[in-house]
Amino acid sequence: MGLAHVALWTLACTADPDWTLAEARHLLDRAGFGATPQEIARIHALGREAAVDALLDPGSFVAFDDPSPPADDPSFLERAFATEEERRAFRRERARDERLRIERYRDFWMREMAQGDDPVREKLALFWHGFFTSSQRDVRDADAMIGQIERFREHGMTSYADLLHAIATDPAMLKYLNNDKNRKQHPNENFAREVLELFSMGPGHYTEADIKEAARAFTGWVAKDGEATFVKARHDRAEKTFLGKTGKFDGADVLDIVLDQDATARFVAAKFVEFYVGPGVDTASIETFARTFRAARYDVRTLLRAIFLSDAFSAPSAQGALFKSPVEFMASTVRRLELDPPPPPFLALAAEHLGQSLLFPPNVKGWEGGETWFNTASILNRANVARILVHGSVGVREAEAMVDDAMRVAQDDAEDGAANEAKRRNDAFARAVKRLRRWDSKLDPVALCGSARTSNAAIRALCDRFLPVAPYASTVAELQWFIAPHGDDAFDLNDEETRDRVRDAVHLVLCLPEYQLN
Amino acid sequence: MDAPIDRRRFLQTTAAVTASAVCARAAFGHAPPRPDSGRVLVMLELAGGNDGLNVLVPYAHDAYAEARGSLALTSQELLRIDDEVGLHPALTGLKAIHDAGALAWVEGVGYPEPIRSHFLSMDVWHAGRLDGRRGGSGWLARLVDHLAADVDDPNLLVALGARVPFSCDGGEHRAVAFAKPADYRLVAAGDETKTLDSAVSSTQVSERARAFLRRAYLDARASSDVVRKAVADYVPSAKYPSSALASDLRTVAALIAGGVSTRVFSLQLGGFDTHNGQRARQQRLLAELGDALHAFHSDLEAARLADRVLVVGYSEFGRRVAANASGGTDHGAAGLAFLLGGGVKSGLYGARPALDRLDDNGDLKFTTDFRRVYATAIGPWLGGDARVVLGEAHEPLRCLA
Repeated sequence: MGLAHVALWTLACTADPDWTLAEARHLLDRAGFGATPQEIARIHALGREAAVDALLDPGSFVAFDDPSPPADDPSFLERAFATEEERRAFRRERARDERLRIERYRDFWMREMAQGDDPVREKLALFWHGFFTSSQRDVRDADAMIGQIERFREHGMTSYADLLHAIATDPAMLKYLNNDKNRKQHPNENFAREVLELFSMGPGHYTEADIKEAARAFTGWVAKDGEATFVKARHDRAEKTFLGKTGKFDGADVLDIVLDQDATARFVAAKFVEFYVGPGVDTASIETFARTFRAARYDVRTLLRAIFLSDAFSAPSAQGALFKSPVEFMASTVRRLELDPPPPPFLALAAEHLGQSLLFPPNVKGWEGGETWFNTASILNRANVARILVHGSVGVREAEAMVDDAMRVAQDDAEDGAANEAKRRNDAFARAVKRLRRWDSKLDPVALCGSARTSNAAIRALCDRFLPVAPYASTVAELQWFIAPHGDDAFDLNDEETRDRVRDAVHLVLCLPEYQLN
Repeated sequence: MDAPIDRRRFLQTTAAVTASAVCARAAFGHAPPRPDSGRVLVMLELAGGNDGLNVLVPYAHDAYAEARGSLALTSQELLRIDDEVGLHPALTGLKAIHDAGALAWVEGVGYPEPIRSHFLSMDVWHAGRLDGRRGGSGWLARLVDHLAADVDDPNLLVALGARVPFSCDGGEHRAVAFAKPADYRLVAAGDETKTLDSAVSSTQVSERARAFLRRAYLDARASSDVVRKAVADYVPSAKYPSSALASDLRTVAALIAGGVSTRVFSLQLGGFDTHNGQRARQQRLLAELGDALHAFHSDLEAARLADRVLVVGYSEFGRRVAANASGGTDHGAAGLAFLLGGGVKSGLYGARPALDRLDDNGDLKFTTDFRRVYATAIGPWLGGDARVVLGEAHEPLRCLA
C-alpha cells in the first residue's frame, strides 16, 4: 500500500478527475471518524456517488449488550423493613450500579466509534445526542439514558419527524426537561420552550403565548421504570391556540403543526450543515437542503446524501474547516494510529477530560463546538492525551506525575473528605490513566510512515495520514530535523533510535494545530 | 463564530513576529509589568437563572408567601437584613460579609423586553449589549482590550472552568483558561517541546482557524508555567471549603497574591435552573456560594488584598414569582446581582420590583439596567470608560466606598 507516500490533497484520480483522494478522505473524516490510507483508497475507488451511497447504507445494528445486568432492586418487603441505614446502603448501591452501567455504555459507544464497522451510524448518533440533548446528570436513570442513545444509534438514519415525535415521550427526555412533571393543574413550560427553540423551529418563529399553549398540550406524560405512560387525568384537554391554529391539541398535534413550518426544515437542515460541512455555507444552499429534506418527509438519509454530494461539501475551503470535537479526536486518533483501543474506561474519560463528556452534555443546547473546544488548557490536554495513545505505558508513567499533582491539589482542597463532583470526575480520569500502566499501544511507527527511506518521505507520510490540510514547509522541516538530526545518512527505520524518533514525531504531529482540524 | 479577525494579532502573526521572540515568550513566560493600580474584577456567573426572590427574600410582603406556597421562606428562617428583606438561611457566609460592610445587593436587575431562554439571555449579559452575540464580542474581552490596548500578555483575562464564556470572546486579548491549575502543562521531553514550539511558531499563518489554534498553543506555553507556580506556591490564610467554586476562588487568590498580571477573572457556578426540587437544590447551591465567598474574602483580608478585589455575582434572569407544581420555579425576568469586596459599601441598591405589579408572564419587572452593574465595575472600579466598553453611557451604582 504505497498510498501513504502520496500527497492526498494534490492527487486527482485519473478515472474521475472531479473526485480526488483528498475528497474521499474528507468524506470519511466528516461522515465518520477518519480512516487509514487503505480505507480511503478503497472508498475512492468506488467513485463519488457510489462512495456516498456505500457510506449511507448502514451495516447491521450492533445493540449494546450489557455484560453485567443491573443489580436487583431490593424487594418491596426488604424495603419496607429496612432500617434507615440499610436504605442508605440501597441508595448507594443503586447509585454505584448506575454509574458503572453508564461507564460501560460510554466505553461501548466510544469503541464503536473508534473501531466499529459502522462509524457513519455512530457519527450520526453523536449528532442527535448533541441535538435532542439529555444529560444523565439530570435524568439519573441509566436505563432511560442508554435507551435514548440506542434510539439514536438504531433509528438515526430514518426520519427526523419520527424522531421528534419519539423524543417527546422518550423517558430520559421526559425527565430531563421535566415534562413528566407537566400537568394540567400546573403546566411546566420547560419542554415546550426547548422543543421550539432547540429541537425544531429555532427562536424567532413563535411567541411566549405559543410556549404556554404548547406546554398545556404536552401535559399528561409520566416516566416510570424506563417507560413513558400517558395519564389522562393529568392532561389538559381544553382548547389551545398554537401558531394561529386552534383545537383540542395534544403533544403530537403540536409537533405536527411544528413539522409543517418551513422554519423547522430550515433550522434542522442548518444544524446538519453546521455539523457535517462547517460554517460559512450560504443561506441559498441551506434553503435548498431544507427543501430537499422537507420534500423527502424529513428523511435523514436523503438530506445527508444531498449534503455529501453538494458543491459546498466538496469545496476545497470546506476541507479542514471544522474543529475536531474531543470525541472525534479520540475516536479518529485511534483509527488513524491503527490501535486496539486502550482498556476501558480510558477513551470516554479522556474525551471528558478534553471537554466532551458523553451522556453528560453541558446543557440542553448540547455542545457549542467549534472554537469553544479549545482554550489554553485543552490544547495542552490534547497533546498529553495523544502522548498516552502513542507511547502506551511509557506515556502513562509521565502522565501520572501530572495526574498525581492534580490529585494532591484536589485533596488539599478537600480535607474534610466531602468529595465534590468535579474532583470525583478528575479522580476517575486519573484512575483510568493508571489502568493503562501495563497497556502497550503496539504502535508501529514503520507502518505509519509507509516504510519511508528518507526523513522527508517519512514526515510527508505522517502528515498525509494525520493532517486534513497540508502542513507548512517550515513545520515539515522542523519535524524532519527532529527525526534525522544527523541527516538522512543516519536515517534508518531498522535502527531502534530512528524508530523511537519517528514514534515521538507521530506524537508531535498529533499536537499540531492542523491535526485539531477536521 | 463570526467574531472579526483581530487585526493587531493578524498583522503580528503574518508579518513581523520573529521566531526567536515567540520562543522567548513561550520559554520563559515573562509577563510584562502590571500596567495598572492592581485592581482586579472577578465575574461570578450563577448559571441557570438564580431565583433572586429566594435569595434576598421580601418576607414582609404577603404576596411573596402567597405566590411561593411551599417554597416560601418564613421570617424565622431568614437571616434578617431589615424590616422587609432577609437572606436565604444557607447564606450565612454572605450575611457575615454583609454585616462587615463589604457586600452590596442590586435588586431588580435586568433589561427591556426580557428573554427567557437561558442561552439568549446569557448572551445579552455576556455581550453587555441588548442584541447579544450579534455584536460579535463579549464585554469582558472589550473591557480588557480597553484597559490594556497595547499590552501583549495572555494572562490579563483568565477564565476558570472547562469552557470559556462568550463574555471573554471576540476581543484582541483572549482568555487563558484552565480547569485545574496542576493539569495545566505540556508533558513532553525537552527536545520534543522545542521542536513543537518551533514547528508551531516559526511560520506565517493567515488562515483563521490555524492562526487561532497556533495562538492558543503559544498562549498556553507562555502562561501555564506562571499559573502553575503561583498556585503551587500559594499558602492561603483561610480554610477553603471543599467545593468546585471554593477551589476556583482559591486559585484566583493564588494568582492575585502571586503577582500574576490578571485583571479580570471569569468564574461559573451552575445548577440554578431549579424547575423542580428547588428547596434542597437551592440550599446546597447557596451554601456552596456563600461559604466559598466567605473563605475567599477572609483569605484576601488576611493577606491585605481585599481592597484590590471586586467580585460581581450575576445570573441570566430571575425566576417566576409563582412556584410551579414541581416544587420549583420557571424562568423569570428581573433578577438579583451582588458586588463584594473591600471597596464595597454594604447596602441595597437598584430598586425592588413590585410584587403586585408583575409583567404579563407573572415575572418581576426590571428596575435597574444590568449595564449599570457593569458600568460600576468598569468606571469607578477599574478606571475605564464604560461608554467605550458598553457603547453607551450607564450610570454607575453608588455602592463603592
